[in-house]
Amino acid sequence: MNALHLEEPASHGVPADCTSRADRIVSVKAYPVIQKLPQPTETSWGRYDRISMVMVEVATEDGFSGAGEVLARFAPHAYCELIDVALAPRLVGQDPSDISGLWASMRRALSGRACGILVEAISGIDIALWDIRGKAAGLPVQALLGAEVSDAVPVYAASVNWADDGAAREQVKAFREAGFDRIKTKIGRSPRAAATRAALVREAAGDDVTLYADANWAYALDEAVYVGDALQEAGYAWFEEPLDADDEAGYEALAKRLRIPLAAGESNFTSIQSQRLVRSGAIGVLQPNVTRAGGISETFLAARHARDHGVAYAAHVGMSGIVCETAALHVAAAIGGGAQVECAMTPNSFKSKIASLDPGYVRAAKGRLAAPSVPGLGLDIDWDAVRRMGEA
Amino acid sequence: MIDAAEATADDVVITDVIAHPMTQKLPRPTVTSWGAYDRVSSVLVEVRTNAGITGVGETLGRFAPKAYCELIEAALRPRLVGKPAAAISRHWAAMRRALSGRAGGMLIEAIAGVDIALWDIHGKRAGLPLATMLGGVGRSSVDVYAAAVNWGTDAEAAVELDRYIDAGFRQVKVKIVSDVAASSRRIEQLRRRAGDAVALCVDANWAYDLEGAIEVGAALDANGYVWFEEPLPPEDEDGYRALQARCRTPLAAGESNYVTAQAAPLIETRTLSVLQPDVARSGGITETRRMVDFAAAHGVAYAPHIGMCGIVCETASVHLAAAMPNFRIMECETDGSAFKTTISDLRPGSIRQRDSMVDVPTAPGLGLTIDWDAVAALHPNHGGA
Repeated sequence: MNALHLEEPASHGVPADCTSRADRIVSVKAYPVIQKLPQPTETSWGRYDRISMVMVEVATEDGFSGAGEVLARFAPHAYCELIDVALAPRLVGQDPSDISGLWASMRRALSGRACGILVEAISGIDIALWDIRGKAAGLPVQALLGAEVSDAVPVYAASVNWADDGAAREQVKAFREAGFDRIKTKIGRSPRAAATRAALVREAAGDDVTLYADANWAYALDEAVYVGDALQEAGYAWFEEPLDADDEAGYEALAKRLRIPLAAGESNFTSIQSQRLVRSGAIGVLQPNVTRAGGISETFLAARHARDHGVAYAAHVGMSGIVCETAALHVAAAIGGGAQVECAMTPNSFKSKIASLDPGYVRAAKGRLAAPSVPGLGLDIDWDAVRRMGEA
Repeated sequence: MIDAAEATADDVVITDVIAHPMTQKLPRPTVTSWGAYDRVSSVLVEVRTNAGITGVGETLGRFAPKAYCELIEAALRPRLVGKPAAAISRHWAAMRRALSGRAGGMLIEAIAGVDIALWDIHGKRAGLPLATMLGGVGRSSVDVYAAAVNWGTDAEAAVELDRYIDAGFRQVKVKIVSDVAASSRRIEQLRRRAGDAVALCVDANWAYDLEGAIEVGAALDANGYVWFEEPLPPEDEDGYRALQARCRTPLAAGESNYVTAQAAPLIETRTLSVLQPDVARSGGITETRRMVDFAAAHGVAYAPHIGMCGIVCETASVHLAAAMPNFRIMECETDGSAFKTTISDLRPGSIRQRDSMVDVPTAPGLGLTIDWDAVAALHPNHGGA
C-alpha cells in the first residue's frame, strides 16, 4: 500500500460539500505571466532574456478550482485572447470531468492540423481539468493515471549552459554537490566545439555520472553524425534534438548511423506528432512538454505509446513553470519504469514565485523528486502573484 | 521616404507592420461536416515601407482574429521593421523562430499574411505582377471550379448545382457529410442531374472513418467523380494510404497543412493526386510555392484552396495558379463574402469568372488596391458582425 494522503485539505480548493450530480464549469481565466530571467538562457536556438507563460484558472459551480499552464514563451496576450474568445465559450457550462470530450471540442476551435498555439492553449486547460478531477475524486493526478506507488521520480539536472569552459565546470560541480547523478549539457553550433565541450564535461563529472547532450536543432545531418560519434566516445546516454524537429527523415537517417540513442519530443504538439519516430525506432527517448503537447491527456498517451515501443519517457520542462514541472512528475510517476523528469536548475520565478510548492531545483534530493500526494496536482497557486507578474 | 521609381531592392526598408482584424456574419451560413459557420473572421496584414510602397497579405484567422493580430504585432513586427523588404526567405526563417516547437498553427498562418504582403511589395517595386515575379508558366487566365453545393435537401442541392452550371462552371464541388448512405445518394443524384459534361468532386471535411470512406469511395467510383477531398482527419496519414489502396477516385487534401514537412508524407507515397494548400494558412507564397514544387516533383497536381478567405488570399492563389506548372484547377467560391466583395477594387473570381476561367491580374504585385475604410468597417469592435 502506498502512502498517498487522501484527505481533502480546504486549502487545496476543494469544497466542503459536493454531491454526485455533474459539476459545471463557471469560468475560465487566462493570465499572462512575464519575467526577466535572472540569468539569460543560451541555446543554439537563441538567447532568452525575458520570457512569458500563461496561467489558466478553471472554476466550477461546486467550488473547485483547477490550475493549468500554457507554454507561451512570447506574445502571451495572443494566447490569452485565444483562450478567452475561442476556448472559454466551449467550456463554460460543461461538465469538467468530460476531459476528452472537452479536448475534442477545443481542438475544433480552429481548423487545420492540430498543432501550434491552439494545442499549447488547450494544454493549459487540460491540466486544469485534471487538477479539478483529482480534487473532486480526492486523489492525486498520479493516482488517477494509475500510479501504484508514489515513489519519487528520477530527475536529471538541466543544464550546463553553452558558456565558457570555466562556467561549465562550475555548473557540473554545483549539480554534483546538489546530489544529481544525471546531468544534461547544452552543446552549440560548432561541431568541433561541441565535441570538445562534451569531453570537458565528462572529465569534470567523472565516469559515475550519466550525461546527456542537448543540441536544440543545431546541426545538419553530417555534423550530427560527427557530434554523435564524439558523444558516444565520451559515454553520453542520449543526443537530444540534433536536427530540426520537422526533419523526421533526417532523424531516421541519423539513427541508422549512430549508436548513441537520439532523444526528441519537446517540439511536438499532440501524441500524433510523436508516433513516427517512436514507431520507426529512430528515437530512444521521448520528451514531450506537458504544457505544449496537449496537456496531461496527450502527454500520457504519448508516453504510454512510447513505453509500448520500448522508448523511454523523459519529460521536458526547461523554462516552464511549477505547474508544468508538477504535472510532468505526475505523468512520469504513472508511467513508471525508467520515466524521468527534467529538473531545470536555472532560477526561475515561474517555478519559485507563484505556488505553495517549492520548485524541483529546491526540493530534489539524491536525484529524485516526488509528485505531490495530495488531491489534484497538489499545489496552491498564488493568483495575486500571478496577476502581479502579468504587469512585468 | 525614398523614391519608389529609383529604389533598388535593398533600398526598400520595412517601416511598419499592421494587422487588421475583420469579422462578418456570412450572407449564407456555410455548412460542412466540420461545423456550421455563420460568422467568420480573417486578418489583413499591411506592410509599409520607406518607398511609399505598401504591401497587403491575408492570414487565415477564422476565429479569435485579435489573437492573430497580437501575435503579428508583438512577435513578428519587431523582426521585420528596419529590414530590407526584399529578403523574403530570410524574413520567413526569422519569423518561424518567433516561437519554438514544430512549425504549424497560428504562427504559420500569421507568417502567411506577412509573406504575401512582402511579395506584393516585391512585385510593386519591380513593376511586375506576382505571377510574372514567380517565373512560372505564364497563364493569363486559370481554370476554376464552383464551390460548393452545400449539404441541404435534395431540392436545395439541385438548385445550387443548376445555378453553377448555368453560370458556366465546368467543374462543381459537392459537400458531403458523415451519413454514408445519404452522402452516397447525393453523389448519385447530382451526377444524374449534372450529366456527363460537368466534372464533379466531393469534399468531406474529415467526415469519415476508414470504413465509411471506402463505402463513399465506391459511390464516387461508380459515378465518375474527379476527386475525393479530405475524407479522413489530416493526421490520419495511414488511413489515407489504406483508403487509396481501396478507392479508384483520386484523393485530394492539403488545406489543413501548414508547411511542406506536413504535406510531404502523402506526396512522397503518391497517396494524394491533388494537393490543396491555402496560401493564407500554409506560410504564404514562399512556403506554398515550396510545397507545390515538391508536389510537382512527385507528379501531384496543385488545386488552391481558398474557402471562406478573402480577396487577398484568392488573388495570391490566382497568381500561384498562373505560375505553377502542376496547377490543375482553383476553387472559386460564390458565397458573396464581404471579405471578397467589399474591401478592394478587384472584383472576386466568382464575378470575373467566364466559361469556368478567371483572368490573372496584370497590375504590379497582387494587382489590387485595398479600401482600408471598408476594412475598418469590418473591424470586430466597429461595424464587423
